[in-house]
Amino acid sequence: MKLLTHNMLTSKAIKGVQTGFPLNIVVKKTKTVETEFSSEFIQRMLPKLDWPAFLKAAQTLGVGSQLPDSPPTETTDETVLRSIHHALVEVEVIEGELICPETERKFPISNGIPNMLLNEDEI
Amino acid sequence: MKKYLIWFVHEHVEFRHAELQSLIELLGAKLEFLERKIDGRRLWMVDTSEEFVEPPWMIVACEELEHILNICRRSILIRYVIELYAQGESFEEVVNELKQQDIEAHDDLFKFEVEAFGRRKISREEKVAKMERLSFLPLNGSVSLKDYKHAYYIIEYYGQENNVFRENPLRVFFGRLVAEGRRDLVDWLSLKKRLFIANTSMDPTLSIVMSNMAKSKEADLVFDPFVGSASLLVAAALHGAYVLGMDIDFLLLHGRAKPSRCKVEKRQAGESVYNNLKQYGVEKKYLDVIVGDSSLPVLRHLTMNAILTDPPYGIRESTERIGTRKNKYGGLNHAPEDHYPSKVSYNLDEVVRDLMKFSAATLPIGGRLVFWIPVFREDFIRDLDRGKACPKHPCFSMVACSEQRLTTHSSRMLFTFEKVKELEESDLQKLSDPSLSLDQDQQSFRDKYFGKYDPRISP
Repeated sequence: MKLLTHNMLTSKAIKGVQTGFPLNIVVKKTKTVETEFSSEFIQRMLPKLDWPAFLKAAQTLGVGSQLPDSPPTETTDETVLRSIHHALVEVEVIEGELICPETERKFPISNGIPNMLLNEDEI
Repeated sequence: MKKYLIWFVHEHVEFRHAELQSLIELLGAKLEFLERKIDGRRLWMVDTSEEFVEPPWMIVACEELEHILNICRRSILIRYVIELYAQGESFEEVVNELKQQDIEAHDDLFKFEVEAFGRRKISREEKVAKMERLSFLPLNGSVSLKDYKHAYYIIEYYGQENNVFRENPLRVFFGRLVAEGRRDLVDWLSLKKRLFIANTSMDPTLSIVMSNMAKSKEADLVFDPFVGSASLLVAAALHGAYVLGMDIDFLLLHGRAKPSRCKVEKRQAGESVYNNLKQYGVEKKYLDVIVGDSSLPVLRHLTMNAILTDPPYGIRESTERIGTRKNKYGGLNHAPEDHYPSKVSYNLDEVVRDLMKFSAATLPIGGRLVFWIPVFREDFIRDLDRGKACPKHPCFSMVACSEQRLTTHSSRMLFTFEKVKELEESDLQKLSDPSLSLDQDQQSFRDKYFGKYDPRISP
């Protein structure tokens, strides 16, 4: 699971959960996988990202130090965009857990794939 | 302005106009259609009537060759495009027209191709005779079938009616090849050679058509909520998009489901969506796959550029979502994360509603949603008259719908929708309007498919 995906995932589907975002991350194993860099793609994603959630998640994964405190607006500085790219779509949580911020419900991540399935009594 | 002849593949005829039109819009190509217009923004159903003839070509005028080359780099339904030098109702007419033209001389290696559409075979002698008739052309180089720089095509069209034999062609074209479509992908992407397939993997041609309909391009984010083995995402990634998928099937995404190949006992190690992309050299476009239920709000609304999907119909893949039919659910006596939830069937009407609702929230204006719906032909045609055959949503306008015949009575329809506006407060009421639902009959596609077909029951 990459942090771009983490920035989209919610546990709102659980009965009674209001926002279910951002999910807390428990990291057991991470991996860096090369993903094609496109400044256009990162620039398109920037306004859609929940920046504080991204920053916190990046810190949990130990890749937050290069990131600016607030989302850069209309930046074309490639060094900044590349550091965002790296944290957003190259560092993956391979084994770990996502935890609902409201109910503490755990969602396991295995082989890099988060399992967001809920049980029949939770929805 | 130069004239070009676009020659199409004689397959998936109902998708031909729609694919080309999407590519023209995507690439901003400026083509002027001569003779007959392109008609890609409509419903195309298989028409087997005698009167219906869809010729396998279109003639266009174009200022910039680059526009045509760009289209050919994407289209899988175009065989090739030739710069049209002459045309007529017989080969003689073409020869006479060519004689009057001032064709630029060159010393390059070249070759001739003689093609006949609608006729079984042209003998070698006949081909050579035709080529010799064109010996007056100022082609000063030698013929080379291997290292040619220019390929000249003589194309004869003999009509496409069944059981009609014509001695002479109806139309003859002559020109120089400028570009070929992406038929090379059909073999390269063949499912036979693909590492990871599922029970309903989409065939390569239609995957590419879908991605073209969705206008996937560089730096886009394309999402498939019923990803399976990601055939559609392979196509989107080849077109430059970053891809993300979701599926309810945990075992499949982890490559541990029952194998889909005949006579194979277990899946190989490494069968995964990532490795499928890797097989085609586009793994750097992979974002993630998520095990999740597309009927639930698993994703926060983040903008996708396009949504491409083939929802399960319940024939070879079950249509399911998480749920239970038990009135009082006893709860679990073990940790919830180790539990495999039970699933209930998820009917097609609900799937489509949820898909459109999700797409309305995630796509930008102009973003496209491309998906299949299986139909019973008789029902679909009847519903068309009642205006109930195609799904509707206040935020979407239907761009195109093309039919692929599956059996005598069933088909699947490829719908392409484009988002035209954001959801407004006043639309919420419309969404619950029962007139937006598909007809009841379509919901029971599975029952009908497996049931014995009785023409007396169907109106």
